[in-house]
This record gives sequence, C-alpha cells and structure tokens, in this order.
Amino acid sequence: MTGKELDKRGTEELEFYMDLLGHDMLNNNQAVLSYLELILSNRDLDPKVRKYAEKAASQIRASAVLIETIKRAVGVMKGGLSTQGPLDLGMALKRTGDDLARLFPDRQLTIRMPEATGTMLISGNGVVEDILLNMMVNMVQLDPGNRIDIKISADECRHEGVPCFRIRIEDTGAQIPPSLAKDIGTGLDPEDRSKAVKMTGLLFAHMMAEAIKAQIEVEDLSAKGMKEGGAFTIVLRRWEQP
Amino acid sequence: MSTVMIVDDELFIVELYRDILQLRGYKVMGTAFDGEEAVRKYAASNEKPDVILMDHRMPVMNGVEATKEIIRLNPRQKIVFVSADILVEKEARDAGAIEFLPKPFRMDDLLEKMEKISPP
Repeated sequence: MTGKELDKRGTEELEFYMDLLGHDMLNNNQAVLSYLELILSNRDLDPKVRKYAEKAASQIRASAVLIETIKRAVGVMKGGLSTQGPLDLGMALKRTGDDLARLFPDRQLTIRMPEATGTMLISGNGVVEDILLNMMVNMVQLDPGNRIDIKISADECRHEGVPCFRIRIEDTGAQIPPSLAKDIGTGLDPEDRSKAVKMTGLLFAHMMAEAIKAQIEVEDLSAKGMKEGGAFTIVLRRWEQP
Repeated sequence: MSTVMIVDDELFIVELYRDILQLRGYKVMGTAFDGEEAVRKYAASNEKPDVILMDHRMPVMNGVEATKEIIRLNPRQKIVFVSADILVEKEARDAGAIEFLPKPFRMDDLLEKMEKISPP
C-alpha cells in the first residue's frame, strides 16, 4: 500500500470515528435535553431550579448545534453535500432566527430582521443556515447580558465583481475577544492548538463558508469608538440561473 | 390507550422514550434493540402497536431495512422515524415511515407528532 493510500485510509477511518462519535454525543445530548425539558414541564418547579435547568438546556442545545456543524463540515470536506442552489435568504434568516430564539429561552432575545426588499436568492442550501446559526449562536455567547438585541441587515454588494449579499449580524452588547478577528482572517495555527478553545462553531462556520466561496469577517465595535459590541459579516453569492 | 413499540440500540434512549410517552398516557408494549429483533417481535405479536418509533443506525439491521420489512408485513403500520442522520429522511419515507423527526428533537415536537398520528 502506498503512502497516499495509507493517508486516504487514515482519513476515511478518522471520518468514520468522528461520525460515530458525533452520533453518540447527539444521543447523549438528546437524553439530557429531554430530561431537562421534563423537569421544566413541572409548573410547580422552584423558580431558582427552573432558571438553572433553563441555563443547562441552553448549553446542551448549543452543544448539539456544534456537533451538527462538525458533522456538516465533515460532509462539506468530503464533498458529499450539495452546496449550490437557490435559497431564499429572507426565509433562511427567519428560520435561523427562530432556531436561535429556541436555543436560548433563558435570555431575553430581540432579533431584528432586515426589512423585506423582495426575494433575495443566494447559492448555498442548508450549509448557509448552519453558518448563519453558528454566527448568531456565537454572537449570543459573546454577550454577557440577559437582554440581547441582535440586528441583522442584508444589503446587495459586489465582491470581486460578483453580485453578492452582505449579511451583517450586530450585537452592541457583545464582547469580541481580541484574537477572534485575526483567527477568523488567517485561520488557526495548527502548531499552536492552545488557541483553539473558543468559538469552535464560528471557526467551523468559517471553514464551511470558504467551501461555498463565502467569507466571514469579525468586527470589534469597541475598537470603533463604541463602549462594546461586535458584528459578524458574511458575503454570500447571489444565485444566478446556470 | 395508544400503544407504542420503541426500536433503538441505546438503552438510555429507549428508557427516555418510555419515560416521556408513559407520562403522557401512552402504553409502551414492546422494545427492540436492533432492526431484526424489531421485525421478529413485530411478526410474532398478535397485537400490533399503534405507532413504532424507529431509530436508523443500529446493529444487525438498520431502521430503513426494518421499516421496509414491517411495512411489507403490514402496509398500514404507522412508523415514526427518529434519527440524527438527517440525510436518510427520504430513504425512511420511501420505506414507509409516515413521519421523520431529526435528533436532537424537542420533547414537544415528538409529542406533537405522536398526538397527531395517534392520540394517547
């Protein structure tokens, strides 16, 4: 067997075990989440216990999103998922916003969607929704407040001469770690794995974005004169009839 | 009282379904830990369940194959497919499952589907 064949076999085995691991972790998450939901369905629950259970449920849901993202990212790396096709951006944002609200029932979330300007068709399919959801989840995780106000805007633009939409997710309460903008821009240094401990979902989203020829940018609004706040921007290609 | 058969290779998931469904008034009349066991038990039982909750990834025989076999025995059997493998939804529906619930699901989503198909 040649070195290349051994590499291929090693990669396939790794994919297989990652898939199994993801599957088992989702089952574990499912059990924890459902038992928490059973506890929360008790109307006589002590308010303090309810608060703790809701926080735990939020974290479990966020962890499930992460596992799903990693599974999807493996699929994208293998080229097994279709990444092209018309997707209604307005509908995708609406679904993602609804998912986000369900993920954090313990936070007072206000999500302001872009004003409707007709149908915005982009290329991407389900991968785009995973990316958007990860961006929003990570934004909420970066905001220590209980009341969270997320503003989403979508504008037409051109990137390298190609018609695109720029989607901006802004939270004026978020606290952006100084290294995040750099890590998203350059990717993580495989030699320095100590840094790969935060915002895993966002980094995977960035990798998937590259696979569909999109790009994610991170803005630290505190560096632009505001007290705090951050914004994630993604530029997605407008869908064109082939 | 509606009756349910649970098919999943993870004991803690079987127990989870049992806890949720019994609390809402369903009777769990049987369990199986792989597709082959499910088909064998289903074929041997005189009383068929109103609904079968079917996992996909299981040893010996997977959920899609088990669904095909059970539908072959009884085309009117209601099977709810529950899986973390979202890409098998079409296969599951083609095999005869009437509903597909992706994991992780919310308890209310499971109960809503169950109540729509067969109220407790």
